[in-house]
Amino acid sequence: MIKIDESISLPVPKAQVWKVLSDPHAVVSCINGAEIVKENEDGSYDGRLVVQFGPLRVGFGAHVTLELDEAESQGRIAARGKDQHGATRMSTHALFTVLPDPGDQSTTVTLVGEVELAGKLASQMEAGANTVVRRMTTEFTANFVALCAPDLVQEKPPTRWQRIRLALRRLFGGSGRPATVEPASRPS
Amino acid sequence: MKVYEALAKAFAAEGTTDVFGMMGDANMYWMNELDKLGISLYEVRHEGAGLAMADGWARTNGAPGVATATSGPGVAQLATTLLVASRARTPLVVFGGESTLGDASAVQGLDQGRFAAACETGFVHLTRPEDAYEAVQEAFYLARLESRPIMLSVPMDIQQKQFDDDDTYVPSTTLLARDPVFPNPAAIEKAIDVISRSERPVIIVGRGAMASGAGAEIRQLAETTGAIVATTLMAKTWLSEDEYHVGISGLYATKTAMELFQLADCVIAVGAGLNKYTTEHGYLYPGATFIQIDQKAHVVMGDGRGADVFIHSDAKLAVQKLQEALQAKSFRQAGYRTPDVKERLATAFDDNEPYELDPGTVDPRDVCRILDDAIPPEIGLVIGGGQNICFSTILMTKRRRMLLANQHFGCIGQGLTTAMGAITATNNQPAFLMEGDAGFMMHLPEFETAVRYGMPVLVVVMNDQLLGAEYHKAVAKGGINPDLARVSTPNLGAVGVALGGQGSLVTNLDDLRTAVAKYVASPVPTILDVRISTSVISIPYRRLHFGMEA
Repeated sequence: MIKIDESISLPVPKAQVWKVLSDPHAVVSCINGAEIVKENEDGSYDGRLVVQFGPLRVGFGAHVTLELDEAESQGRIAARGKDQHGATRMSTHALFTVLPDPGDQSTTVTLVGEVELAGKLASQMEAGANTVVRRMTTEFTANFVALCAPDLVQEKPPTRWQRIRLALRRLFGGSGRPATVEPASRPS
Repeated sequence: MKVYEALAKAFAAEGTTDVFGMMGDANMYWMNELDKLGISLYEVRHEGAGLAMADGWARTNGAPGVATATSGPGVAQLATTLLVASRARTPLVVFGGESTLGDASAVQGLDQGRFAAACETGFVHLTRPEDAYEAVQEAFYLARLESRPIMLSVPMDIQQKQFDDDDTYVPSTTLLARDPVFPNPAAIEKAIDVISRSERPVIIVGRGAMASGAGAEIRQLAETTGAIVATTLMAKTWLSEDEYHVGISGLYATKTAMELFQLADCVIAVGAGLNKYTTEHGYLYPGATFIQIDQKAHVVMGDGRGADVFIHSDAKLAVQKLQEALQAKSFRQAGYRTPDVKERLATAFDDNEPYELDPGTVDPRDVCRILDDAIPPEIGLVIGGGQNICFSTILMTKRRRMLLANQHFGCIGQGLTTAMGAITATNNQPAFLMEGDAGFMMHLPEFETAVRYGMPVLVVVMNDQLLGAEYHKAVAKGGINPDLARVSTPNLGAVGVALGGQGSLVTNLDDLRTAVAKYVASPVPTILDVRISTSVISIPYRRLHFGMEA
């Protein structure tokens, strides 16, 4: 079990933060390697996430639900899925709370939750998985800040994904999209 | 003649030349007969160590290794190494003495059959004198056929019975005369279909390919298909003369290799089992279609699936057929074999992660580089077990006369003893061992055995005075006091001298160069106690425990 316990301070009013957090597409855009592939009729989503464990990039498919409680300024996000081989299962749930600071010119977002990995990758990564989740949380925070308060963010060096894509483009030309994001299907 | 004489004659007829073990009441008559027959006996300080020497001997020579232990406590000491040999799929025959048949009160009594079963070891029980030849033949037959340890357990009283069979012993090799397996043309056709559609193939070679002598054919296939060449851990450095050789596939791969593997659309495994370590449970090759060539009837890969195309065949024959079929189609592509990939491979084994060293220590990565450079290829390399060997397993890349890796059963303490067996199997040619301090200390007394028999082994102890794996895991996980994993050692170089060999303490790289040059000039049993910094984390541990993109 990997714990998430983050507090993010943003120099923008609460309404601006809530607007971003209540938009699943915006939230997913803050998670490097994640995308929504389908919106279901019950309001849930099917998503994809590529996670970097050391030099390995592992693609997960996940069913994601987002429950918003605007009156309480809270949201619950839950995701459950497995990797493309079905060898590792992932389960995540987190509660975020959006609180205006005095004067409502700035906002604090708290994010508390857990990530559970089970299966082959979990035993493989041992303590390293904690580091991976911490890194992803940090990246999410940075991306989230950039989305809520773009004026605060200077031009950044290329992200890990941008660097990888550049390297792939140099190697093989084309889009540089990593093959592991959408692996070729195996013949039956 | 007596049964023990017949048994000794049968072992000799099986081609046994070297036997490792410790004499006791229940094997001494048999050993005495072996000596009369000119078989070399190696008296060791611990039965398990003797068995590990036989393991190293067999993995180097290819024929079944032979070890012995006396009844009960002697046999019980074999447990760890029997399991190691089972996991390593080493053909071994253990002559286990046994207490008097049916004597339930014997002080050295042990149910050796159940013991063998728990240790994943085949069991042949000689309970009638007239079956002596059949028992030896069966033990060697099973060892050769199943490539695993077999215990021949012989009660003391049976050994002393009369054996009146005048027939000549028939060695097990006569039962096993087999022709190589030819590939099914339909399977070759399926494989060609996959290869023809691939753009980025990887060829992974293992011990089966080495045994088949398929090197030249594999390199030709790599040229034709544009494949990079990788090895299993056990085949480390094999075919590394190929300019698109990327090293090991698995956790011990370089970051560059891992990035290339993950882009592969086809894997051609040649005599490689593709276990979970070689493919990282399949995660190293997420988009690949698998072709697997193996002389076993079938193999399930480490991710629990069968290969997309399985070719039941001798490795060399199947690769030849693939090459012929591709030539008939005029198929040839650059694939991975491009200048860009070559440029990346040129620096793939560099590890420039900065660390501040502890005072009076050296960087283990520098140790690996210096030794790899200074020790000529005629001197073999044995890599021990435990955390420290992560450095040498990745960073030492020189192709050598002989290379043996020990990671089976996840235990430590097998390095020195398998090195001694490997040296014995190669007519006492020198070899050096890369080992951690905890693993070496476990069987330290066997260094004296090496001295006694004049085995030219250089033991390089990568000494961080830690149970290294536990220390680094404790640091990474938190909540556990890492200092509990600190275990000091004396000056092991001085211990080497005290045991009759040579040795020195190394705390700087100049001392290392000097000590290695001395060994290379005159290889005699030597211990180099190299004090390495605890601050330097190996590449696999950076990945596994610190989540780093190393």
